[in-house]
Amino acid sequence: MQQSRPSSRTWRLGAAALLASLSAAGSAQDDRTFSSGYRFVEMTGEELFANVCQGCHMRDAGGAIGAGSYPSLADNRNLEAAGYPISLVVNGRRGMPPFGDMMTDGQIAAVVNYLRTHFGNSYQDVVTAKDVRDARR
Amino acid sequence: MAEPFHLGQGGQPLPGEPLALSDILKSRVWRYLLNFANYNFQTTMFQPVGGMDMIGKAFAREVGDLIRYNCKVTRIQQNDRGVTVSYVDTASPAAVRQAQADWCICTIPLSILSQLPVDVSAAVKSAIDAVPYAGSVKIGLQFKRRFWEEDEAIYGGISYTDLPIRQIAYPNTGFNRSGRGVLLGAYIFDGANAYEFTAMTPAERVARAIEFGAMIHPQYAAEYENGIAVAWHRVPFALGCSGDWSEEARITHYRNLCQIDGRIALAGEHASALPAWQEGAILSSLDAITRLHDRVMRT
Repeated sequence: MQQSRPSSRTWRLGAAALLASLSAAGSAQDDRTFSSGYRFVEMTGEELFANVCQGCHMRDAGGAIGAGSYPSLADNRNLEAAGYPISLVVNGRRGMPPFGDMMTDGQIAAVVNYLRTHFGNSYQDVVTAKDVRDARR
Repeated sequence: MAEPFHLGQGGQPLPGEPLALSDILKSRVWRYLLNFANYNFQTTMFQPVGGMDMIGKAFAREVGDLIRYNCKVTRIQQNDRGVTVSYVDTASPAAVRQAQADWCICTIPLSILSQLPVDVSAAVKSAIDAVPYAGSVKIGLQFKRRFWEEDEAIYGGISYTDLPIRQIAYPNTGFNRSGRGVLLGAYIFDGANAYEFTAMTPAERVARAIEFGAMIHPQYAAEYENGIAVAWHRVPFALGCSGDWSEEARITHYRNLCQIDGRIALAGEHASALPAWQEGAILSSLDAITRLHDRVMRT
């Protein structure tokens, strides 16, 4: 499975009439951004969380438990030192994939800022793209 | 889409309109052709009758009485006499049980094993911690009829697309059967879309697969019946599709991961050169068993 990185493009799809006719498959959704290549095109922290982090850490950031677990990011003291979540998103940790090659410095700063100010976290110091650039190995 | 074929007077075949060279180039066809030019395994593939999980079911048929289901391993300890695995039955998780043996071949995915206390050397522990797990999503769609065969003369194979669903794969058996058919409506890995689909609810994954697939097969709208989506990061016993080794991690850690550490050896697709493939898992098991047998016979 080789990685390919074609230029980015965004698929923005509205609530198509087709979806409305497919009630069995779920209700029509809001607009959702789709990336077209290896890298994410979502730009806001909120959208990056909803389209990426939420896959494992769940919609409420509460994490999940199976044979192993996905840690909760809610009310999480580990987010206090911004360098820690920056490093995790850039490099990954254990089973968590690294996102350093899939997001820009600005995207990583955006999603870290979003996490540190939502889900019961309220850290006021703002992370910048430069902070992320400095954290890259 | 053009008619698949034309017949002229007297039944002679008539040539259709060929694709323009620029359309072929713009489609990035070369990228997709690479799928059939892999050098590290045989790219002509066969499918077990009934689907890939028939291989797992065949193992269960042969050794099923040795399998304890619904057990969650919580700790692996070893000393110079043997290995003790602590586990809980998920039906009664309060009681910790233990299994003991002279040796242990552990096939727990590294996404989970890296979270457990395991008595292994620092080098093996570093290797267990060095492998992120890839995201992947498959979506099955059931239709009232096999319209891809009836309307478009598509018999098996795959439509590759740059839509977020990436592939539509058609059943390679049961051709021309009347009634229902099931398509692989999306097969997503390596890249942003795998995460985007993982982050959706199962119902939205199916709805999006229909929405995108209908751009290729408009029959979806009228023929769709039912669907199911699997996102491997959400599978509780795997927490990911497969070990996503980087070149650097493989150089530093792969040999350490595969060594027999005291009385514990690891096996699985993550301990193979063919991650994500059943072939990799089976080759890894044969390798681990062969080396363990040699070790036991020598001591």
